[in-house]
Amino acid sequence: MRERTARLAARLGWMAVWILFALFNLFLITGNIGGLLRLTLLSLPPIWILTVIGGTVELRALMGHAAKERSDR
Amino acid sequence: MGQHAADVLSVSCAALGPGHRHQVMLLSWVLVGILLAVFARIALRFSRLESSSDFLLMGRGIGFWLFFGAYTGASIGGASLAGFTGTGFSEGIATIWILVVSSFTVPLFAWLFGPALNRFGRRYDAYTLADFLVHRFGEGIRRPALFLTFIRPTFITGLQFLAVGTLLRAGFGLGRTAGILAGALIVLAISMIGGQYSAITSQWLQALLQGLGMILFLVAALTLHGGVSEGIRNLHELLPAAFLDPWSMDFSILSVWILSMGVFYFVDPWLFQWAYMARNEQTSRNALVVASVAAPWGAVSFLGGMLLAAGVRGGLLDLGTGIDPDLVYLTFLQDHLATPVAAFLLVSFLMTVLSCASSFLMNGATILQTDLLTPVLGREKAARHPILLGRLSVAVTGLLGIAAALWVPVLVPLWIIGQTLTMAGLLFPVMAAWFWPRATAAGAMASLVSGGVGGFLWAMAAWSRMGSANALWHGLHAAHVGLGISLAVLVGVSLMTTHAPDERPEATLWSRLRLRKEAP
Repeated sequence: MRERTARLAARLGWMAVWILFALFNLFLITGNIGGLLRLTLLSLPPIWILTVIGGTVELRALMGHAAKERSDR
Repeated sequence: MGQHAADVLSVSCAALGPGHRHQVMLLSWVLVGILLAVFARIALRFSRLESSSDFLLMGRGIGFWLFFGAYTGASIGGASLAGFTGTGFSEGIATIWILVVSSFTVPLFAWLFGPALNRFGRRYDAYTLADFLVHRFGEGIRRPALFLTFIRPTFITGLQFLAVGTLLRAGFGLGRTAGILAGALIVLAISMIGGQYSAITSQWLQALLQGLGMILFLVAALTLHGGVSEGIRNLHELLPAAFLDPWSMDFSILSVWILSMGVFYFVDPWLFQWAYMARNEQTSRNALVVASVAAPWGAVSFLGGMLLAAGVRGGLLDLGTGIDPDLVYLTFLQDHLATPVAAFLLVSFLMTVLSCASSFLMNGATILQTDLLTPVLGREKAARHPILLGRLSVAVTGLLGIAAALWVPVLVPLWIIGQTLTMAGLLFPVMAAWFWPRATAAGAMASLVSGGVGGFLWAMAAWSRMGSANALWHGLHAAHVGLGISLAVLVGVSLMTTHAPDERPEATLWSRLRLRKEAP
């Protein structure tokens, strides 16, 4: 179940990535500065929040690992 | 509460005066003090490292989100933030192509070569681009490759130290030299204590502050106009049409950008290092693709700069007459935003520069240790003190960066020349290693040297005749000339020579390395 959810999340994530890329370049090529501005404003906050959450989880694991290695010695 | 938030995000039309600047500076110092304590704690947590792989490549274990965040932080430096805000302010959107070209080539690099390089790095204990070439063409190619790959990170580190010095002088009241030294000291301390572990985790944290700062900057620039719709309307009504036309740039320079800011990344020693550092093959590909495709951070600077230009033309903002475009970002945040927002943006600007500096410092140190110190000392001797050597490499690269920032007045042209040399000399030998088993070591060596020298001489001629190393002289850029020579020499010499005994013509072929299990 967890694996299926992760796969679905990854698939949705990739879709979002390529949609963002396509829209960004479409707005740029057509000179739609308003679209570019709105897309930038809308897309950056969720990207930022995901970076905070994902990075925090990885960093905690990394620091826990470093602390364990230290205590093992 | 809502009113309070509106006050905090308010933008003043006129400069708020020296008293306000002083308040901003004091609050910024407090924030910087807190952050330095956090960075020190992170660095000390990772201070007990054992191997070169730990120190230089974070144990080849960087996960997707740390990779994504740290890469985003590292790839945006002072020029991308304040420089492109100034470009948006003075010229509009067209120069954004300089960033967009890499959003096509970096993912292509990641997709084609990321997993293969990650696998190669683990299998053969590779750290640098030169390691890849040496595995294919033999040890002889290491020195010239070292020369070409070490120039760029050193100059970029120097440029970021210089940017820190300028920022600490303008925003924090330090002298320029003291600012350069203070900034360098912070980056050196973080990197020397905890190596790539503390560098990457600090870069991730710095990227978060940088990202939040950039979002706030865009929001503040829109607040100036009264909202998103009003901002867009003012862009169209107040700016010249050319500002809004992405196709208004000089097309002859686009081919240069495609080469120097696009194709270059296929032989970027910094990207090779990121590919080696990733936790696994998927991370090596996915994080790099997503970071370069789905993060329109670069657009913030251009759009923000254009919004400020529209504000000035519409009488909504007074930045003074004849302001230097490079100072627009700093002046806007220091003199026109409420104290907490201004202080946060100032600190996030500092973090932007520091994250870029630390990433390229570690790249230069990795090249220095792997391609110079280890071969000179001998592998056995070097393996006895890997962390000491790593710290020494960081210190030497940092000192070179400081020297460049303090005493080299032409860092930007030198960085351009360094980037041109790297591409002109390395592109075809590296592509031959991936795709052309007939290429010989003699051909690769001759191609590397002649491409580098040809590109260098052309850049110097363009600099002296046209005033810029990046200019087109007789319609050609140094990259065009260097690449042309490099390709011709590679093919010609390879067809005239045979493989040397220490060559492995099949070892780095893409068709072989992309497979999870090497073909027998």
